[in-house]
Amino acid sequence: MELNEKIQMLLDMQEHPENYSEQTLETMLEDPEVCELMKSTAQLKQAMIWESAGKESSNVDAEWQRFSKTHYTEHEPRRGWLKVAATFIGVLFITGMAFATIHIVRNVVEKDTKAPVQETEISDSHKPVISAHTIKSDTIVMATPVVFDNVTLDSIAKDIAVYHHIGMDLRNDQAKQLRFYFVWKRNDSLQEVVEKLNMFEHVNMAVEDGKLIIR
Amino acid sequence: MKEIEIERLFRQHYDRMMRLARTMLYDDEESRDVVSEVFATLVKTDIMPKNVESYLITSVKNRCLNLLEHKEVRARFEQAYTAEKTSDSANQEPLTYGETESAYAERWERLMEYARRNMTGQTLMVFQMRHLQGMKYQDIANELGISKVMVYKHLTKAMTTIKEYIKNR
Repeated sequence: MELNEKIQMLLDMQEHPENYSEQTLETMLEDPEVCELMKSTAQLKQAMIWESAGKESSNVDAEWQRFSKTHYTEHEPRRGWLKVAATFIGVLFITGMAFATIHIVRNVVEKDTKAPVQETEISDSHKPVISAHTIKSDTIVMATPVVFDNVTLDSIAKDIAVYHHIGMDLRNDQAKQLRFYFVWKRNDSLQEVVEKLNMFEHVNMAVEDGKLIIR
Repeated sequence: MKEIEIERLFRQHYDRMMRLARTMLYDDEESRDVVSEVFATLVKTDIMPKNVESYLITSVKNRCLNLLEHKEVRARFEQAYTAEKTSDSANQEPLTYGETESAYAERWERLMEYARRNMTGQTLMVFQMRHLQGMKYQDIANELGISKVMVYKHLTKAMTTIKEYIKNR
């Protein structure tokens, strides 16, 4: 292609880039001559803008006001937003827990022969799979065990406490770091579960005053 | 950094930073955002950069380049952005770290001087209408009472003149 043709084409491309495929435009840019012409256009454009921008001065006062308003006075409301966000996440979490509990309870109570399987995310990183499995029977309701795989002690305790409708008292922050593989047979009594958990090293749990206490 | 220090820097450098951003981005809104982001990073840090002016100018430049790199190829043709980091970018870069704004100013002034010496006023006018005002070729022709072919000729002249200038610099 002659240089003149290239220039013609480039001028058309500059006005109507929509008439060309991106591929065509990219290929065009790879041509060193076109690249030089584009650069020349850009340089002259930049020089002109530089020159005209130097003639007008902006209103620095107004710009500073605008900047300081968004970056300085906002400190308080920003923290406020964080609080709102934290509360919201908290509410979501609690609702999730309540939702999960209702489902577990309902599945236990429901005389559903279809045996629904449920997956509930209990805490942020670990996913114990709760498969609530019910067998129709006159008096005995069997609940399938819950498997906690690499779950922290406080999460396990929380689930157990919620299931047994009792409160929880976390007195040892280490519980948040201890992770266990634990199979929770929900037909076991609360006392039995606590005893099983106490067999782990570093675990000291008890039920006192209607609360599940972790020491 | 304390608000009072930022305010001092802001008042001192805002115009120059805006001028640089506008020269690269061709857009006031985008430029304002870039400059504001640069100051926002200072709000969060306690360290005063060693050479503040050079730091501010380089930060603006880098942020602009970053934005330009993400422009679509169609916009590149239409707006004539200079985002491509071409092979000879080492000497073509408008600013290398440590350079001040005055070096940049000198560069554009020299280019404009050359342009004025080697192009007619009408060529510059056509270029300005096309690239700064974003007018269509036909509208330029109508406004200046010339043919569209002439508009093409003026733009060709502008491009080839600057191309020679870049080559011989």
